[in-house]
Amino acid sequence: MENKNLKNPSTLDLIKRLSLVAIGIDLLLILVYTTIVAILFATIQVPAASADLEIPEATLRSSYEIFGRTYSAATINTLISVLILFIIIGITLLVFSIKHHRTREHYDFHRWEGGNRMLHAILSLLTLNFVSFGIKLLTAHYVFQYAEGVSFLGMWRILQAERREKKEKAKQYENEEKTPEEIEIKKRVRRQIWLKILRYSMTYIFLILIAVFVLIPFYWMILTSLKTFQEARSNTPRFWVPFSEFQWVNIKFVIEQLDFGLYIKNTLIVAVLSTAGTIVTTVLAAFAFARIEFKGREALFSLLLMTMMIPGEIYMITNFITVSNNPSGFGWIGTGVDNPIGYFATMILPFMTSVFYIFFLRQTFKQVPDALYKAAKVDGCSDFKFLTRVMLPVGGPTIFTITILSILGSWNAFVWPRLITRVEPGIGSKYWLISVALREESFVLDKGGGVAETMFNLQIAASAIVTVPLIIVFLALRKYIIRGVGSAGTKG
Amino acid sequence: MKTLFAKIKLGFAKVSWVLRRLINRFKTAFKSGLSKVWALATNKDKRLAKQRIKLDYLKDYLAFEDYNLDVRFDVDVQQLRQELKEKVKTSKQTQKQRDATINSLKGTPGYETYIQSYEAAIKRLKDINQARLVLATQYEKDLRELEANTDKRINKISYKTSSFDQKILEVHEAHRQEKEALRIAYNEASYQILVDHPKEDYQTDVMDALYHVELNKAYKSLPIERRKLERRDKFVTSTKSILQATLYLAPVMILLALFSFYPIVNSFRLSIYEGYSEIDGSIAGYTLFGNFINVLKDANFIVPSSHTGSSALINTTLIVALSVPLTIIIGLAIAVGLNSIKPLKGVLQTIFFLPYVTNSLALGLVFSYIFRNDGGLFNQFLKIFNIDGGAWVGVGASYWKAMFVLIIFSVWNGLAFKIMVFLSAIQGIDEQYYQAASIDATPRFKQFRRITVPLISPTILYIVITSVIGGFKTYTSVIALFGQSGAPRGATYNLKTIVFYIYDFFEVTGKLSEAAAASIILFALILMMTLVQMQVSKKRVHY
Repeated sequence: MENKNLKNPSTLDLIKRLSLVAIGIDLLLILVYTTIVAILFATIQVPAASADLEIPEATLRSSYEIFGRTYSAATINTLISVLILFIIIGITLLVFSIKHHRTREHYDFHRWEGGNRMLHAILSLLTLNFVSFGIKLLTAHYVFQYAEGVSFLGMWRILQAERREKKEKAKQYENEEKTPEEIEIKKRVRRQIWLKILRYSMTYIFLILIAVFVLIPFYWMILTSLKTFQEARSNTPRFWVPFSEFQWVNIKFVIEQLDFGLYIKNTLIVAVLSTAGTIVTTVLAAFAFARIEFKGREALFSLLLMTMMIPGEIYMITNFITVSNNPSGFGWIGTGVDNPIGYFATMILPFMTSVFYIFFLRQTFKQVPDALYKAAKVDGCSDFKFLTRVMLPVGGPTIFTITILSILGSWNAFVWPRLITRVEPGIGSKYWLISVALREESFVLDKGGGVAETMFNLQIAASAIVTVPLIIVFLALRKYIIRGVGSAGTKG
Repeated sequence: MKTLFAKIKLGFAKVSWVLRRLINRFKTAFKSGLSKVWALATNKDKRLAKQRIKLDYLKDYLAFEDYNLDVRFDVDVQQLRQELKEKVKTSKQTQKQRDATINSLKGTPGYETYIQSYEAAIKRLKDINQARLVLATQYEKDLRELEANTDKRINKISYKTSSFDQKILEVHEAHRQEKEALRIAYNEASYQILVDHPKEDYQTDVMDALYHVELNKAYKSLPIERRKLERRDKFVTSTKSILQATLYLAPVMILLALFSFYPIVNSFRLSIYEGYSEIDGSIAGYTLFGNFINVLKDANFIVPSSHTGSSALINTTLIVALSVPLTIIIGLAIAVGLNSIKPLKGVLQTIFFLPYVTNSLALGLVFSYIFRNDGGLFNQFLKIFNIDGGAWVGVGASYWKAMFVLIIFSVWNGLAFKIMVFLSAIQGIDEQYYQAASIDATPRFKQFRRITVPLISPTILYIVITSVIGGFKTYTSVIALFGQSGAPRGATYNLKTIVFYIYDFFEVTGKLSEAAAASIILFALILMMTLVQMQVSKKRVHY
């Protein structure tokens, strides 16, 4: 008796609809978790001064009232940590399952696919997503029905039968007579396999050691930012802190009391504006150098390339004189008046162009064939239209890479912002960027009597706030970043 | 005694011979170098190419080739031309024979008639040439007008109309027909020229001899009016493109001029001033090298002074010399390893690339926390092996321990970029080389040494140059680890680098001229190192 689901197209539709439902439920759950984390984070009470953070057990409220029920601080910490872990795992699983769902063709639904769906179901248990677990198991059941016509038990029996057949075949082969050449070849192959295993394991050990060396500062950073102060300055800090002792209050303190929210806002403004300016100028200039034939084009380009070799310090001195308040400068800073436009202009304008990006984009624009340009011209297309309609889509990935690199550059900018905000410390400290704030903000706890200690956990919490968003952006867009940097290196 | 003198003489002769050889070698190198530089500066190859093009053009013009006029002649005319060509070609007489023929004719009475008929024939040819030149220019002008008209007609058609394609086809058809009509008309006209100048009989070898004389003369005196036309047209389009280019490059050029070109010039200007005060731009005087000498003599720039015990130049060279080779070797090893594995490749790539996207300052703070005196992760790690770490970054750290931390931080930061670049370079190597090597059973390290390294040597050179330049500019690493003072707390030395000194001059003491001079010294250092590297790499890099 044939199963009615075997190779039935309507089963395929059912499977696809079920997976969509599962994805929707995953998304819903992630949103629910995020709102819970936000509510809990908002209710954490932040002490007024950093001195109170020194002995949290005495001064922090140990119990919170949410919706009429009291929870201790330890529970809240645990809840936040566990939920954040679930959110991270859930988002990666969601992205992976969306990609998986989009790339399945009708020939992809075989027994392996059934096994994949079962794996997805078990993975979704990691985020305590029982509904999704059930739905995905159902999907696996339907995939098995579509492929083989049997369900889980039948699949298991088929696999057992195949395994038994294989064993019998191997036994048969063992009992046959083997020529001496065969035995010799088998020995040699076995030895080579051992050598290969040895080589691969050495490579892996080397790579994993260095990966650990690269990863340890990150792990230590995230761990220390969630420790108490006593813990952070003790002589024997622990390698792992239980979830209930994750001090999320550190992060809230740094953002609110130490004004890091303001600094992040400054940095975002500078990053967005300077990236927009960079893209506009770079696209126009790269088009001019790649497509328009004017006299002295090569000479001008070589001149621009030569300025790349000059160290940045030569520029800084004169630029500082240009922007400050003296007879030959613009007077954007140092006037004694708080002018945000002036400060932001000095931080954005000198970095709105970069010869490296022009060079990079010009290479991409040069790949558009000449015949396309002439054909467009015959049809009456102006140069600017050609740029916007044809060149920009072609150079899309490159422009995206330039955007990412430019945002990274503004996020990590240190020397120039520090230089210009140091002129008037009182006013300039409102315009610090985050790197500057890391170094200038004093995380020192003054206990009076000349004894001062740096609050390491707050300092490293600030570093973590600076680093973690970038890591998230990098993990999401790493394909573009790696491709952009690698190709820039080989073509340079 | 005699043998001794003989030996001494021989020795001197040998030495002088060696010296003379050396001097000769320098001389020839210098001369050839000079001539090469002169040829490069005066664009000798371009000039020669242009000359050759001119001569080719003349030769073709005189050889009555078809394509100069873009007009197809009638069959009779072609036959005529073929005859002429053969007559010119088959004149295998040498110049001597031609001179002999002329000399043999000189006394004869019919010589004058020969000359006259010859001159008439030459004049006929010249008239034909002239008329054809005029015709050719006229023809080209008409063609150009035709094309311009067609372009105007095409531009008038808007691409938004529905019958756009049909209209374009109509215009093209009309253009083709008019062009055909023009061609036929000029065909007729050029045939008419030949009819107007009828041919007379002339004697072959005399004609040939005299013809070549005139040919040579004409060869040198033909005008090139057609090419003047072309050049004028090119000039017309280039002004338009210059305007367009200016518009597109305006934002970039303004910003670069203000923030890149002007500062370079200004740095040189500042380094000549003395006592420049930035508040009102007043200067105390001019000094040519005084600022440079001040910088070089300054305590702690080159030679360690007594109270700080370390100098900027030594610090910087130590950083460069220790961290750059280490990073490159480890990076290359990791790239080769990553290239050879498959399962965990993506994960490991991501992990190795993480330090590139992170803030150097933030990680510097974390590093200074890890290397803390008591309770830092590093000391705890050493305790496992029962080694007492001591102070690395904090109070009481020695110079070499602090330098060790700085170098580890530089290596950690620099690995990411290098791994990426090396990996993409290694992935670009053709698989055939490795397959050929494995056929010959080469051990893997030899494969690496003889195949991988030479094939990615341009990339390695690029990375070395950029790493050295970046190493000379270390500044944020030192600030991240040690703070504004550039040294651990309470230390008698400091780890300041050259760039650190520039900023010290600039911010702390406010001496702008010295800062400008120091930055120019830094630029000169970097330039020298780059030139040395490029020279050293000439024989080792295979493109």
